Amino acid sequence: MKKTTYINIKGLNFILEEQAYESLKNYMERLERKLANIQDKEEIIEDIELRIAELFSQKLSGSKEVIDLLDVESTIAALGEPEQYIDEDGETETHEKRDSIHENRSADQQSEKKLYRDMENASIAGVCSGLAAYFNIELILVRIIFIVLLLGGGFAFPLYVILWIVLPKANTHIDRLRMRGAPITVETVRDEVEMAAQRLSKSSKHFQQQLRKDTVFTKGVNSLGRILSKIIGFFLLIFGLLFSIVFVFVFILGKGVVPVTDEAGMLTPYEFGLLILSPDQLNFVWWMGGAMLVIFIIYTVASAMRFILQTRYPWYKYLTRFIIVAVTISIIVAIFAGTTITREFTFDSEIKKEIATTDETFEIQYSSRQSKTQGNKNIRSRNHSELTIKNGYIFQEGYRIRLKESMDSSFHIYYVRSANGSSNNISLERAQNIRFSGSLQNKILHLPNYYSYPTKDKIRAQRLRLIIEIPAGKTVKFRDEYYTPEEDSYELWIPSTHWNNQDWGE
Amino acid sequence: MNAENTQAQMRKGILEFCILSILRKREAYPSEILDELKEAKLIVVEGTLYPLLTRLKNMELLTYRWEESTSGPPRKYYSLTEEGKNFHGSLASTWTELSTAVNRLTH
Repeated sequence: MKKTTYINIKGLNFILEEQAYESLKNYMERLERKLANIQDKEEIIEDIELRIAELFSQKLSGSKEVIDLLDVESTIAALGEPEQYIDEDGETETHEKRDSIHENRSADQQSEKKLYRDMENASIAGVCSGLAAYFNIELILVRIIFIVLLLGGGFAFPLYVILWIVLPKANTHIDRLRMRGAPITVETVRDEVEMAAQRLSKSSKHFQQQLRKDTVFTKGVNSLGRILSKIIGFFLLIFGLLFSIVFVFVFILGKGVVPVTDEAGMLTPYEFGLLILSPDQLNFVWWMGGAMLVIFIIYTVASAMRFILQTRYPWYKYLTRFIIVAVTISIIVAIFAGTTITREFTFDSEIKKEIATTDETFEIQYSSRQSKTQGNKNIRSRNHSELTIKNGYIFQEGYRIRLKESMDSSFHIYYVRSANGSSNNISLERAQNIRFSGSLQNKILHLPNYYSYPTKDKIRAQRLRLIIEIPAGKTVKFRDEYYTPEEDSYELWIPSTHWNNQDWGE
Repeated sequence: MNAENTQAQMRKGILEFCILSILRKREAYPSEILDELKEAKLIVVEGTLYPLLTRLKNMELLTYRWEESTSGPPRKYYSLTEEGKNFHGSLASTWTELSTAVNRLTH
C-alpha cells in the first residue's frame, strides 16, 4: 500500500505517490529559491505549473490514475533544473549556458565521483554494487572478492556494515549518474529515467520493496531480513548438498549400513531390499527414491542460489511446480507400495514341534554359530551381524525361551515356528520352511543359537520360540543359574553371537 | 570555454525572435510553442521558455487569454500585440541582414 497526496493545479486534481510528491515539492522549492529575487516569479511559476499539469495529464490514462516518482522525475528532466534556465536576473539560460553548466558540472562530477550504495543492483544493501559502480568493476567480481575476503579474513563483514551505515543510498536518478561518474545533462538524466522504467517493469516486486521503506524501523527489519535470508540460504545450500552426498554414499552405495552378511560380506541396501521385496517392487521403489533424491538436490541448490544471489530464474517457477507434482506422485506411490507390502504380512501361522519329553532335569546349552565365511570381508566378531545368508538360507540368530509350569509331572520341550504371508497357506508354508535343530542328550539340551529359512521365502517375520514346561518343584539349569517358573512364565534369551562375544569380551 | 558566453548571447537573442516568429503565425499556448521549438532543436530544457514568455509579456509584446480545456488544465493562449508585431518586424530584418552578412563572411 502506498501513501498518496492530492494536489491541485489550476482546478485540476492529481494523485501523487508519496515519493513523487516529495520530489515535486522539492523541485518547486528549488524553483522558488532560484526565483526569489525576481519580479515576475508568480507568473513564471504559474506557467511552469501549467506545463507540469499538461505533462501529468498526458501520463495518465484509464488504467493509470496515479502519478508516480518516475513520472515526476521525467517531467523534471524535461523541464530542466532551475539552475539550468534561470540566471540571477530571471533571464533565460539558453542552450550554451546550460551546456556550460553541465560541462562544468560534468568536469566536477567526473573528478568528483561520489560513492553511493546502488539499490537498483543491490543484493543485500547495495554496498557491493555501489563499489562496483564507483570503481567501474564488474559487479560479480566485487561480490566474489567480498565473499573470498569474508571467508578468509573475517574483516570484510564489519567493513561491510560500516560502509552500509556510512554510505548514502543513490536515491534519485541524478544520484545514480553521479555514482557512475557520468555527466549530468538532460540527455543522461533522460536515459537514466528510461532505464529505470525498464528496470521497473522487469521487477515490480523490487520496486515495491523499495517503496515499502517508510520508516527507519521497517528499513532495519527489511535489511535484517535480507541478511538472515542470505545466511539461511547459504546454510540450506551447504546442508542440502552434504546431506545428499552422505545419503547417496551411505545408504545407496554403502556397504556398512545394513547389518546383514552373506558369503561376500555385508549386504548393500539393494541386496537387503531383495530379501524383502520382489525384484520388480524393489526396482520400482529404488528408481522412485533415486529420482526423488535428484529432484531434492536440484531444488535445494536452486533455492539456495536464489536466496543468495537474489535473482529470480524464470525456470524456478516451473521447477517448484514440477516438484509439487513429483512429491504428490511419490506420496501416492509410497502409500500404494506400503499397502502392497503390508498385504504380504496379513496372515500368520504357527506350527508347534516337539523336541523331547523327559522326567529328569537338564541343563540348557547353546552353541553359537561360527561365522564360517569364505569372504575376506571384515567379518570378525566385532562386525558380526544378526542376519547371515549362506547357501540360499537366511540364518537369524537369537530367540527366546519361555519357561512355563508343566501340566503334568514331566518336562516338555517344544518350539513354535511362525511366519507371515499374504494367505494362510503361504504363511503356513513359510512357517514350515523354518529350520531349527535342538536335541536333548545326556541331560543336556543342545540348542543352536539360530534358526534358518530359505531366502526365497523372503523376510516375513519368521519367528522362533522355544518353550520348556517345567513340572512343579523341578528346575532347569541355564548358564549357572537354576530356573523355576515362579510366576506364569519366564523368558530366557538366547543371544546372537554378537552379544555372546560381547559378554565374553572376545 | 569562453565561446560559451558569446554563443549564449547569440542564442539568447535568437530565441526571443523565434518565439515571436511562432506567435506571428498564430496564437499558441506554451506547450505548442515548446513543440515547435523542440522540433527546430532550439530548445531542450523546457523551463527556458517561461521566463522569456513572461519577460516578453512584461514588455507588452505579448498578451494572452485563458481557454478552458476538456482534456487537461486551462491554457494560456499567447498572441502578439501590435507592438509585438512591430518588434518582430525589426528583429526579422536584423536577422536577414545578419544572416546574409555572416554567410558572406564565412564562405
